[in-house]
This record gives sequence, C-alpha cells and structure tokens, in this order.
Amino acid sequence: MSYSIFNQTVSDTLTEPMFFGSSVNVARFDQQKFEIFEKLTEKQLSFFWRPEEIDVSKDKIDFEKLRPNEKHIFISNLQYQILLDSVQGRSPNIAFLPIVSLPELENWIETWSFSETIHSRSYTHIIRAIMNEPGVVFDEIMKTDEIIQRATSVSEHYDELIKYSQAYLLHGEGKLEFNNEKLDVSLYGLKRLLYLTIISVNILEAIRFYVSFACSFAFAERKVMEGNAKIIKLIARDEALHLTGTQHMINLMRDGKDDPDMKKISKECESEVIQMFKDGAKQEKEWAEYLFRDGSMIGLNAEILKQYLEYITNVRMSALNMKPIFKQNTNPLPWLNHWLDSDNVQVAPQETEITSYLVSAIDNTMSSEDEDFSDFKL
Amino acid sequence: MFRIDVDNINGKTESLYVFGDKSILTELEAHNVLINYSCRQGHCGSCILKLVDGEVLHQECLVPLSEGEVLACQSKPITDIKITTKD
Repeated sequence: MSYSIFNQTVSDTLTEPMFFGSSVNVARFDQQKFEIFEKLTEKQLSFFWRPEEIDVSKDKIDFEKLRPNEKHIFISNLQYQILLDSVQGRSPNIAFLPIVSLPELENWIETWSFSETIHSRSYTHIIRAIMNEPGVVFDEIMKTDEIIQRATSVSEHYDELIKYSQAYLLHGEGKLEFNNEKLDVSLYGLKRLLYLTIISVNILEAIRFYVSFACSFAFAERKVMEGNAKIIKLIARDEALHLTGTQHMINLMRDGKDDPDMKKISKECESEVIQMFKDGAKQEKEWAEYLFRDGSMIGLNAEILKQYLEYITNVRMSALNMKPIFKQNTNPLPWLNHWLDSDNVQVAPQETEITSYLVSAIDNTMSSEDEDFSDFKL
Repeated sequence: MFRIDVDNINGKTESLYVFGDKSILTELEAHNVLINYSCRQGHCGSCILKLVDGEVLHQECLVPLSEGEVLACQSKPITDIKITTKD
C-alpha cells in the first residue's frame, strides 16, 4: 500500500482521475487527459525569471524616507508575502504529489511550487537591498502573533490532508491510532479533505496574495519602492497562472469531469466552502487593521483595502460559478488593474527591465489556413 | 475611435466609444459594464465574450475558444464591434 516512486502497474492516464487513482509512473507528456495543466506548465516555464535581474538599489533611498507607519505597512506586508510563499514553496509538492495520478498535473504541481521558491528568493533580494540587517525582518516573522495566526489559517487544511494521506498511503483505509490521536481514514474522507485544501489554496493565492499586491503597488503608484513593485509584478504574473490552476482543478471537480465522488463532495461541502471564503475575508480584514494600525498611507487605508478584499472575494467566487457573498461589486482600487493586466506597463527598454518577454516560447499549433501553401512561390 | 456595442451584458445595452489601446475588459470596467474575470492574463477563461460583429486584435491565450468567442482581457477592438455574453 505504501507509496511507490515508480508504480509498476500499467494504467491509462487518459482515464485516471486527477488524484487518488493509480500513482504516476512514466512522466509522459505526449498525451494529456487535461491539456490545460500542460499549457500552464509551458507558460510558467516561459515566464522564468530571477530576482537579481531587477535593480532594487533605489528602494533603499525610498525606504529611508518613508514615515514610520509606512515602514510598518511595507515590512509587515512583505513579511506576510514571505509567509505565504514559504507555505506555497513546499506544500503543493508535499500534499499533492503523493496522491496525484496524471503526469501532466504532477508536472504542473512541481513547476508551480518551484516558481514559488523563486518568489521566496526575491523577498530576500528586496530585504537585503533595503535593510542594513536583513536578518531582523526574517527573525520577527516567527515572533509576530498576527503573522503566526495567518500561518495557522493558511496551513491547517494542508496539514490535515498531509496527515491523513500519509496514514492512508502507509496503512490504507480504517481506524488508526497515531501519536495518541485516533484517525478514521477513508478514501472518501480524504477526497473531501483534498477538495477543501484546494479551495483553501485558491483563497490563499487568489485572494490573500492579491490583497498584499494592492499594498505593494500602492507604494509604486506614488513612485516609491518601484524596484519592489517590479518584482511583485512578476510574482503577480505567476500567481495569475497558479490561481488558474486551482480554479481549473476545482471546476473540473465541481462539473463532474473528473472523479464522480468529487462532484458529490463539492455539493456536500458547498456551505463549508462559502464559510471558508467568509473566514478568509474576515482574517484578511483583521490583517488590514494590523497593517494600518499606526495610520494610513496616501492612496490606501484599512477601509479601502477591506472594500477591495470584498470585491476580489466576489470575483474569485464568481470564477468558481459560486454566488458572490459581498455587496461590493465595483473595484475600489481601479488603478491596481494597471499592474495586474498582461501588457500594461510599457516603458523604453533602456529605462527598465522588460518583463513581458517570454523565454523559449514557441507555438507548435497549425490551423488549416497554415497548411495551405497553394499561393507559395520560390 | 471605435464603437463597442454592448448587447445585453449584465443587463446593459449601450454603446461605448474607445481608442482601441486598452483591452475590452478594461474598457467595460471603465464604463461600469461588469463581467466575470479572474486572471486578467488570458489563462482562466472567466471573461469569455461573444464577438457578434467587427474585428479585434487578440493576444495569445491558454483557453480554447470556439468560433466567435474572445477573451475580454486579451482583445482590443480594431474596428467597430458588437459584443454580448457567451451564452
């Protein structure tokens, strides 16, 4: 029953479910059950970037000139981003890889998680540039109650799924006693935990991250901390891919296009999922209060950030074909889309690093028009 | 300038006049015509619209589109156009 790194049972990966089918063996990408994950991987690879490509040296001068409350907002927001990417840099691998059944999805999860580690490295790059003692910022993370509370809320579903799936992979279904804790392990229960975990990851990447992006870009709208904003723009470009990944997983499950159990589970869990979105929004509102406890900054305050939070929560729920839960249906921070849209930052190449170039991007698709060479002459 | 005829999108039927330098999604938002969207980068497919008439410049996207469909976040008008919801 225990996990095998190369399952020697022959399986048809075109008919396996995304998770909890036969574990993967040959990493093959010539055929895909769900092509979207292959496309996401290709896109993510084409986005490859390194934090050192971005010059953040001017940010040190800007940071010194910030008011104390603005320094608190900037550093706390960065610490929260560090926490979120610390979680995302490892947890998709640990939680999802042992239970995945499709090679294209396995490859996407690995690529997704790897890109999060680049984000983590970029935070160190920023902090090294703006602080004389970068270690202080990192050391404070584990000592700040508000951040530790966030850590609990973003990791609790992952932890449950990891605990139960490890027990399942070692012992199979049944009742187990483990560290004085009784576990009732069933495949159906595990699938339920998986569904809720993917929802929680979607909330993390599609809502929590975007609230933090709003804070980062609010500084750059004032023409300060622009190096940081260039890096966050690259991170936001990656996160738009990642949130699409979880969104597709959830919608495939909800539409019954994957495992029939998952469609049933998605219906059973509907009220729990709505509550998760409400809880996530409540936690982020508390975080907004903490960020702006010493005062607001030009262009952003706790109240506007909360309105944006309600708006983006509605947007994400609509993308999952769920009814919005808040009244806020217009974006209170319309300037933010300028930073989030795919090609909105146009600058002279000599002035800045162009972030919209793709690395090794090719298009192999041919349409019938492409194959018509009748008017071709040598 | 180009005209975007909005045909019953979220209860709105009206004409917008735009320069064609911004995505249809951005123009609709600016005129308070609200549609679903999510990634704003052409990956998720939340903002698919039906192009009834006219032509658009469409950037690459990950979403398979049927004939006449466009992603609002990835397309800009290059003629007068008429758009409506997917269904």
